[in-house]
Amino acid sequence: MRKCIITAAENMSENTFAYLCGRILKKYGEDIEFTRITDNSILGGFIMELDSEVWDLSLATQLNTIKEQIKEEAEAV
Amino acid sequence: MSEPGISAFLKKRISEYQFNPVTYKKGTVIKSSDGVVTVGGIGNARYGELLEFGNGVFGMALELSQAEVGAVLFDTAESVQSGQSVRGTGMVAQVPVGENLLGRIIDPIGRPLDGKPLSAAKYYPAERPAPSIIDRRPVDTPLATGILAIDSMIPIGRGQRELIIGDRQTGKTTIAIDSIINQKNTEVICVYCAIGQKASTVAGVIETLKKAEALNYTVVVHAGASDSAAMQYLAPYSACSVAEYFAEQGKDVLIVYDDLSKHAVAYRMMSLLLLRPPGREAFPGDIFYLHSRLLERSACLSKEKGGGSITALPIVETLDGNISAYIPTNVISITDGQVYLESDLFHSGVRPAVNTGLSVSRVGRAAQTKAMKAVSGTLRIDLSQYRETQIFTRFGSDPDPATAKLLKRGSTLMNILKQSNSSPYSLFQQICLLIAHKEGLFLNIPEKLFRNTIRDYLSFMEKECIKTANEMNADGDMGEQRLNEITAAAKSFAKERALL
Repeated sequence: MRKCIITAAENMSENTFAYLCGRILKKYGEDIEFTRITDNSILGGFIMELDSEVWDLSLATQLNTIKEQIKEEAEAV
Repeated sequence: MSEPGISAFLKKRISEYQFNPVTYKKGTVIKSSDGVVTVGGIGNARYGELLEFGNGVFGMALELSQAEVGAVLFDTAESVQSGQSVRGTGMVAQVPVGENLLGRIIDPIGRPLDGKPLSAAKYYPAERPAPSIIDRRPVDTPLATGILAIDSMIPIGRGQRELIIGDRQTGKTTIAIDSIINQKNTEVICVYCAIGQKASTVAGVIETLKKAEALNYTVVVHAGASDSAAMQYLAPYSACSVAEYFAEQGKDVLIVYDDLSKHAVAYRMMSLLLLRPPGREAFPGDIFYLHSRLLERSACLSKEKGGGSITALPIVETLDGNISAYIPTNVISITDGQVYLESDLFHSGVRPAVNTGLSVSRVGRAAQTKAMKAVSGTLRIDLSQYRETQIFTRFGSDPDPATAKLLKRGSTLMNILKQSNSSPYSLFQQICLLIAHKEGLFLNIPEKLFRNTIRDYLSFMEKECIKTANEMNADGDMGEQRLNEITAAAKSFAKERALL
């Protein structure tokens, strides 16, 4: 049994969560146990941890990436 | 940038934005002790990969196995708890490089230590391969240290690796710092890498550089005695990457590693904690490779590669003058020569305390200026004859006149070679001193007046031959005419002072 932890903000509906689990099961096989963690600091999207691999698709991380990129470019200008 | 400019810039960036998920490996700390951490769950970490422990704490993966990764911490061991999550960054240890590092003091991972922000356009990995054979050219340009004993007898060329070796408190760092100070107005960039040094010592060095206005062309990379072993291990590699940036721009760089014996000790500590098998003196099996791959990165680059160079002055500390210990012999065999400093000489007032018998430069002769070659030919023989005769006559009665003259000439030469710190000589000044020795002009100066007479002599010569001085410092050439002019001026000084 593999373990999958999905971190999402409160605003993710049960339907979306179920859809997401379905997609993960389809891609990585049937034998996966899901755990949902609610964390509002990620703002939106989700972070998925499967064994030791992490996929960070959260809004907070994306915004942070944009911020860093713009900061770097502004410094270069 | 103007306000509409900013909004247009932001709009453009947002429209071009591509959504990319951030993926990484996450592991957990299984064990943490003495700065070495065992991490489980990141089985595919690369050798040397940076691991992030959260709160800005980083480590480096060095021991890889299927289930676990052994990593060393760049911060103190207390900053990591067992069970904590660890993130593999997919990057190796990097250091910022560029022109704006000049005059700055950084740690081995590029964090500024002088309290000012540091923005860098470029990053280089700390570990980089050495230039290949085809990218190199022979050493042919001198790197003047401004120290008469070295420039005349143990000349250093640009791209050479010259070891400075000796017991503690014999003036090793002083020689390196004087060499840095002498690079003022020469467009040579300097990098000073302090490994495992006392913070007070490094502060003193920085103060000396500041006073001599040498800091604005120098980068200081510092991993102190209180920093983790991993930081001390990384320091010389980072410093070399900083130097390589300048060399790739076609510049000549002088890099000082102060010192590699402490670096070896830091690596030994790391290796033992990582449970690697100990070898001689408990150093690990790859201790030779540790220094050889570092020093191989110093090179004289070919014209196609920009023609820059990295001259390395590694420093190694010996115990009780034992240069046949493990680390000293290793580094001696890697480098292109060594300057051996002796504590007996140092305490008898010979400063710099260079033992010319045991010091050697294997490639520097080819790079010596014509002017220096013309006057320094017999110095080594003169000195060794003096030393030998001195030992023989120590217990004897009055020596015969020929021996007495030889002894007098020798002791005068020893006095001429003495030089106080932070006061490098220009090429012309060195030539003048050696001509005075050749002509035997200083034989009758009493010991007490020696320093003052030399000072007066040099200022007299610079006034007398000002044109030749400037020309010689620029082109390094001698020629019959210049030699005659300098000799005549030197003799007139001796006559004026009634020295002959």
